[in-house]
Formats: sequence, C-alpha cells, structure tokens
Amino acid sequence: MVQENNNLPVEGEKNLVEMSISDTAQFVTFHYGKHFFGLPIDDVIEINKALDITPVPMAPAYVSGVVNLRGQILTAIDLAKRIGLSAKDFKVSEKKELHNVIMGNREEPVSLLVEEIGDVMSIPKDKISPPPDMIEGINLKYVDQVCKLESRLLIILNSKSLEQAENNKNQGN
Amino acid sequence: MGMEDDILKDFLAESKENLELLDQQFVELEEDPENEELIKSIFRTIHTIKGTSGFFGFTTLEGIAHFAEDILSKLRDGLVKVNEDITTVLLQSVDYIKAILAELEATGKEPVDTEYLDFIVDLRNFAEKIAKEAGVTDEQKEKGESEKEEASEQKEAKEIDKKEEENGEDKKEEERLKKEQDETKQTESKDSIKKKDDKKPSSKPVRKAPPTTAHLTESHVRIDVHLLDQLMTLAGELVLSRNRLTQLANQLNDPEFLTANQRMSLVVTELQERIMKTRMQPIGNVFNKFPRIVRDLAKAAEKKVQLRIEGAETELDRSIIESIKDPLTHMVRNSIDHGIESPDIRVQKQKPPIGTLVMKAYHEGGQVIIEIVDDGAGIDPDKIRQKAVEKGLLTEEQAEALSEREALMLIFQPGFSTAEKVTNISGRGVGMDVVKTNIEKLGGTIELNSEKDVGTTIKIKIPLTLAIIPALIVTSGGQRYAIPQVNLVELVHLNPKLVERDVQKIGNSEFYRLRGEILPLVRLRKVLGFQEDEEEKNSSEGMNIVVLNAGGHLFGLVVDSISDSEEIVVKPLGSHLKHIPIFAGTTLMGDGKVALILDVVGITSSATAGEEGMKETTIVTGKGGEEDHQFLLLCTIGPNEYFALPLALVNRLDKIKASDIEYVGGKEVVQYRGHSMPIIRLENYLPISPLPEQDEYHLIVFHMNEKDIAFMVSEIDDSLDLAIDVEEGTFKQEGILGSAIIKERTTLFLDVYQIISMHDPDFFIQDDVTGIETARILLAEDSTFYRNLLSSYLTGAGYEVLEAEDGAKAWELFQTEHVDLVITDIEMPRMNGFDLTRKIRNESSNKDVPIIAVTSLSGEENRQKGLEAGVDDYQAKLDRDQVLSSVATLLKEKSLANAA
Repeated sequence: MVQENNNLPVEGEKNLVEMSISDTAQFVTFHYGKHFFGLPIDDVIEINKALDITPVPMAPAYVSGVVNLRGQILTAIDLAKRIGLSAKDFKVSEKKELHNVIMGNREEPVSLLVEEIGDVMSIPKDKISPPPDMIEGINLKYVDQVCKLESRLLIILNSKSLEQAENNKNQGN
Repeated sequence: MGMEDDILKDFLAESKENLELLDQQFVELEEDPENEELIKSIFRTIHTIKGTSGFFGFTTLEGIAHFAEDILSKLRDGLVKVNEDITTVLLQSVDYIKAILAELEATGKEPVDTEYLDFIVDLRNFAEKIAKEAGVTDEQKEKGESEKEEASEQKEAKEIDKKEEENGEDKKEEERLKKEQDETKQTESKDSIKKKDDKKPSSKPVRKAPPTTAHLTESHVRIDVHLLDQLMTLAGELVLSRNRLTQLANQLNDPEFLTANQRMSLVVTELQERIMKTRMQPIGNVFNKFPRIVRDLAKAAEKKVQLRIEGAETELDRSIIESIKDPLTHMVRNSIDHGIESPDIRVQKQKPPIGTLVMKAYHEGGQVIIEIVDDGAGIDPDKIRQKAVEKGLLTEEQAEALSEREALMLIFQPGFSTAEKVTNISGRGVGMDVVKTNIEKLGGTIELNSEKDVGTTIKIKIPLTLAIIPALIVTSGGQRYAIPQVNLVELVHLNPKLVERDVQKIGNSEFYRLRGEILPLVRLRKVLGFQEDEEEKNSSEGMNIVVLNAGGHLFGLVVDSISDSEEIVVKPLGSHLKHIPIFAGTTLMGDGKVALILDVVGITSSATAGEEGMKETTIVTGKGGEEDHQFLLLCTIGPNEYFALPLALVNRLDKIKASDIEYVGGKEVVQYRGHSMPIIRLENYLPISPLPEQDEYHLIVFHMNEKDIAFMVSEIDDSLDLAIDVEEGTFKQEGILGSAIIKERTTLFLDVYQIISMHDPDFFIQDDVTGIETARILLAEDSTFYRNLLSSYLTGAGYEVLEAEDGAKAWELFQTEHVDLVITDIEMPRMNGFDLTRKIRNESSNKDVPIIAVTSLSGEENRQKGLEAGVDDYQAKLDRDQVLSSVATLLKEKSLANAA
C-alpha cells in the first residue's frame, strides 16, 4: 500500500518562495552513503517514503524491482548501483528502507531509491559549475553539474541519463 | 431502420457540437473579418448540415443551411466583406438550425411552423441581395462550375450504370431509389420556397427570435482516450482499496461495517465494469471500411467480389480494434488477389461468377473470433511446396514429406508469398508471417483451412481485451507470479511418492510422464535464477506442475505453490525491464503489491537457451514434420557405443550396485520394489562390445505387459527432442531399428520390443490371447522409425504385417491383398490417414474392416476428425500395450460379427 507520503518539494517550495530569485535554481537533495546529491526540482515529481519493492528476476543489476505508486507501476532504480558506487562507498544498514524520489517524464516516471531525503535548496546559478574530471566511485555520465557548498560537494545528477534504459546491455546477473 | 436511427443520432450529436462552436466562431469573425480559415470552417459546418439534412429529407433544415451556405460562399471567395447584418442573419440561421435540431431530437420530425418558412424566405432574399453585391461575373463562374460538376456526375452515374448491369439487380434498385429521393427532395424544397416567396417578398433581414428556445440536450460528449485510460487505472486502484477494506471488515467483524463495505463493493464492481465498457467498441468500426476496400481491390484485380459482413456489433477493446485493422486488410487482400478467381475461370469451375467474401465476428468462450471466408480457389499445397523449394526454405525431400496441413502452414513463414506474379495488391514480400506475428502479439491465434476450388477460411481468435485477463497466480521463491489463463492446460500436484515414481531426471532436464506422454519440466525457480534446493523440496511437499501450452508445445512449469485464478489488470513493464523475455508485464494484487506476469513462450526459450548443461545438446528440429518429434533417451555402453530409444517407452531410470545383481536360473535379476526383475545386457543380443565392469550400473526400466524388465547400461547420457530420421541400411538387424547421427556420434536406435522378446520369448505372451490364426495387418506409416517399431511389436505379438510408406501405397496394397485390420498414421505425404480411411470406407464391402489411427500426438481435434472419417480407434504409436489390446479387441469384435 502507499505509505503516508510527505510531499517534500511542495513544502520546501513554500518556504523558499520569498528568497527565490530568477538567478537561483532549486534542487531536491538527498543522501546516499557519504555523498550528497541533488536533482533539479522540475525533474522531480514527488517524494515517497518506503514503498514495497517487488524484485524482478533477470533485471539489470541497478534495478531493485518495481513499485506501485497509486496504481502506476514504476521501475525502482537504486541510485548507488546505477551510478557505480561500490559497497565501500556507503553502508546502508540492511533493515533500513530506501526512500523513493519519483522523477523523470510523466509518461513513464521512475523511482530513484536513495538513502535519505534532504531539503529543497535554492542555489545561486553562479555557484554551480561543471563537474570535475573525476569523482571517486561515480560514473560521470550521470553527473550534470556540481556545486561546492560550505561543508561538502553537491552532486547534481542528470535525470535523463538516470532514467534512460540501456537497451543494448541486457541483463545483469 | 435501426441503422438510420443511429446515423440520425450521430448527426444530431455532431451538429450540436459544431453549432456550439459556430456561435463562438461568428463572434470571432466579427472581430477578425479577414480570417479565411474561420470562414472556411464555418462554411464546412453549415455544408455538412445541409448535406446530411438533404440525405434525411429535412427540407426546412436543408433550406436554411443552403442559403446560409450561399452567403458564406461569397464570404469565403472574398466577394463580400463580413458586416454586422450578415453576421446577424447567419447567427439567426444558426439559432433556427438549433431549434429544428432540438425538435428533431424530441420528435424525430421537423417542426411544421410557418415561422421557419418565413425565415427561409427572408434568408433567401438576403442571400440574393448579397449575391447581387458580389457581382454578376461570379454568378457566371459559379454556373460554369456547377455545370462541370453535373457533367462529371453524369459520367460517374453512367459508369455505375454500366457496372450495375453486370452486378445484378439489387444495386440497381438501390440507385434508383436514391435518385427518386433526390428528385422529390429537390422539388419539395423548391416548392416550399416558392410558396413563401409569393407571400412575403421582403428583402430586409429580419431580427426575430426563433420560435422555440434552442435548448439542445447533450447526450454525447467527446472524451480524450487518455483520460479513459487514467480512469481505468484509478478504477483498478479503487478495486484494490476495496479488497483491502474487505479484508479489514472481515477481521473486525462489525456487522454495520460489513454491510457498508458490501454496498461499496457492488458499486465499485459496477463502476469498473462501466469504465471497461467505455473502452469497448463494435468491430463494425473496422469492418465498415471494408466494402470500399473490397470494391477497389476487386476492381484492380478485375474480379467480381461480393462482401458480406456478419456480427459487426461484436464488441472489442479499442486498442485491439486498432491493431487488427492492418492484419485484416492484408488477409482480405490475399483473399481477393490469390483466392477468388476471375469471373470466367469461376464460370469454368461452375461457380457463380461473383465471388463471395464473408467477414464474420462473434464471441466464443471469452474470446472474439473473426473469420474471413472466401469461396475462391483455395490454397494448393503442391504449389506451396514448390514455392518453398524455389525460395530455398526447404529441400525437395523435406517439401515432399510435408503433409497438406503442414504445407499450408508454410504461408506463415517469413518471406513467403504465393502470388505467381507480384501485383500491386499483394505479393510484396511482406506476407502472412507479419499477420501472424501481429495477431500473436495481441495474444491471439490464427488458423487456416483451405480446400482446393472450394475456398479458404482464416480463423482468428483474439482476447476481448488486453487490459484485463484471467490469470493463474503461482508462487515461486516467495514472490507471486501471474500466468495468463490462455496458456494454461491443466494443473498437476504430485505427492512425494509420485514425484519419485514419475519424474525422471536425465542430464539437466526433467520429465514427467503425463498420461503416457512425456512432458518436459521447467522449474520456475531456475528460470528466475534462484538457488535451488529442489531435492528437499521434492521430498517434503511434492511437486506442483502447471501444464502450459507455448505455441503448440506442452511443458510443465514447476512452481512452489498454486493460488487462485484471478482477473488481473495488465500493466506494461518500464523500459528498463521490457527486454526480459520471461515477463509479459505486471499487475497489482489485492494487497496492493505488484506481481509479474510470466511470458510462457519466453520461458520455454529461456529455459532451453539458458541451461548450462543443455548447451551441447543441439535440439534438432526438422522443418515441418512436428508429428514425428520424440523425446529420445540417449545412453552409452562402454566408451564407444551410443544408443537411443524413445523416452515414452521408459518407465523409470534407476541405478543399482554391481553387488545387488543376482543370478537365478542362468538369468540376471535384481530385487526391485519387492519383485525380482530380470535385467538384460544388450551385448547378449547385439553385436557390441560388452558392458564394462562397474561398481554401479544404470538401469532403464520398462513396464510392459504388467511386468518389469530392465536394460543395463554404463551411463544415461541425455535426452533430447528430436525429429527422428533414421537410416535403416547400415545397421539393420534384429534388435536395431536403424541409426542416426546425434550429437556428431553414430547412434543406434534400439528395438526395445524385439530385444525383450529375444531375451524372453514368452514375455509378451498374454494369458488372454485369442488364438486367432495370424491376422494380417496393413500398416501405413511414413516414418521409417515408427514403421519398424510398430511392425516389430505387432510381429512380436504374432500378427502378419504388410508395410506401406504412405497412404497411397497402403491403398494399393489394400486393393490387392487380403487385410484383416488397418493401422494408419495420420500425417503422411501423398495420401493422409483420413483420406485413406475415407477411401476404404467408401466401398461398402470394407465397412467392417477395423481401422486404427495412430499418432504421436493426441489431439481431441484429430480424434474427432478421425472418428468422422470412419476410424474405429485412436492410439498413441508408442503405447504398445494399448495398441495391441485395441487390435485384439477389434479383431475379436469383427470375428464375432462375422459369426453372427
């Protein structure tokens, strides 16, 4: 069943309305392991706490399974496996359930599984820069931009390449 | 009449919608008088109303529309500029039209109020005034145009007349009626206008409110299909919520809550049904396009074809209707192009010169059946064989060996087209294979029946809807999976004891003996890539087998448990998961969790491709000749001797220790299930190297004539599904049926019956042998392997056997030799078993000759067909005991009948 879903983007938006200027961009942020990620707010449809995941045998390794979002069946993509984080980069306790960031186009959204949901952040555009040549343990194909925050690096993901199916590379194991 | 009512309803609904739009458009027009698109759009709307009202004979309506159109045409051609007067008059016309439509909707008749006629007159005068303003030159131009139009119309009419003469009477009459209607209609409208003309010759636009308030009730709305799909999804979700609530209600057991829930249940079910219904459309929507298509095609092919449509009201899901249109068109094309002959050939064949094409749709068993029947030339199997050889699809021998039915199925092969010349209608290389794939994509099947010079029938079975299908829910590895009910044949539960007895493991594949037939087993856990702990599973709980049909092949899917059968809502898999062959989609279960839908065909291919151990086993599937496929058991003696025997003969496989072998009366036996069972060393009867000393031997156990007996071999190698094609020459000798190259090794086919007889001549002697002095049996069988096998056990049972390699040869023998009983295969080249049976039965002196049909498949359809042809009994080739007992019974009956 659909768990109680707190629509974070909407709430966040409200708080940020006053301070948002045309030169800032808004991002939904979330954590996975030691990394801090963001997605442009327009690419995110909603955020859900843990949904029941039905595993799909023979699916690519980065697909954890399928989830039911109010009658629509979405593919659940594990962010860590998708972007190439290896197990040593994060330690998710076995029992902990991952959160669903529903993203992508409205015809066929996907659910991106993340460890923890952060805030919606408004970031001045001039603080955003192209990604460095290398970020440890992450396939840069999925990284659009980065933003250096005071304490850490916000990795802005490319939602298109995240949701893109790799048709030629078939089954994982 | 009903048809006309429907059209009227459509007309009213459509006009209403357009008129609403008109109001708005006129207002826009006033603001933007130069907007040509707008004027054209208004013109079209009015023109349609004029045309349709003319068709129904609504003269007042037609009159108003006619003059409004007149004015609009001037606007359209830029001869007059829009001004307030014109807009007002036009808007008034719209109001009047609305009023008339409202009346039509209420009473079905036009209002007979003089006010309308007055308005027509005013309108006409106004139109004339406008025309004058537009100038004379234009009128001339218009005249010229209309004359041209008339001329071409006449030409067309003449053409039609010409055709009618050939086409027979009814069309002619139709045409005449139409003409009459046209005439009366025209005079009427003229009359009415004239009458009013005399009365009130005013030319000023009158601003008068229409007599009745033009209040049109809406009965039709256009809705975006996407919205309907969303509603469908939500209804599905509602059903799930309801189910959850029902569970809770049952737990709480509060009577009030239960009642409330029950009420809601009913409403939800009804709601779901209604929403389903919005997606259903009559198949007529597609069929209606065919009269025209057929006419054009027939004309192009210079043939005469009459199309008959039946069951156009049969309802189907919208998405299916869309996707069957192309396949249907293709099949109709084929029928006209290749099927129906040209008129003179038809006359030569003593058929009516006009061919008949029937398109029929009806519901049957939750499916929709569509038939396309023509009375044309039918499909000539010989031509197809020839074509297949030409195209390099088959060798000559292969083509020769095909039965008629198999030959017909060839037209569904890719790259096959029987058109002798490539026409622009069909024969462009894309053919029936595409049709077949498309139908199968919809979860449907296609069947073809054809008789030379009588016609061809194509029968398509498709599901009512793709959105909701009945499915069986099974569990494997803790997850639920849905199996579409269309693929389901039966369910089998085996308790641990039966598993041990009836399930064979050979190499990596498992088999279950289902009523004498070999059913390959596929473990769902394995397919899904889960770890296996099968041994434990088997022993504790037994085995659940779901017998499935994957495109004509049966196999058993082993699952952990079987739950209920449910109607499921099919939802597609996302793009990341679409490529996985074993899943066809997803669905939501009652508790809101997702279950995957299995793709049965995908499972068979993945099961054969994926298994490591099977990779060496090339599964040899001969082209066609499905009938002769057999599961073979491969075994070895020593390192170099390879043997094969039909798995269906084998009762069990087992292992024994060398120390368990006992010697009794010079023969080797072993204690087996409480009996002592004789074991046979093949080297005693065949010229082969002896079985080497081993600690453990493999036993192939047979159960025949209610006794057990076993062959002892070194190793059980493998099993495979093979089209048997044996050579007799080199190794023909007692105990050997022939040889074949299997897995690059020369393999001998064992004649199990003969070897057993050699070992124990009394083994097959039955207590109740009737003692008929050697009856003569005519055996018609095209496969050398089976012929030898059958002949072997028949001879072994003391009968004399005449062998024939096909039906025609058998018929020759039957006429020249004395025959007590006939055993015939069904599928044979030249003459099949049914035809042979009919031939024999045709002569009254042969009525009492018993005929047994044998087959390696058992199909209810074949059985039925066989009984109709006059077959006395129907048996599986490899079931020796059954065949022999059937032979004995029939011969006994015959001799009793003769004695009486």
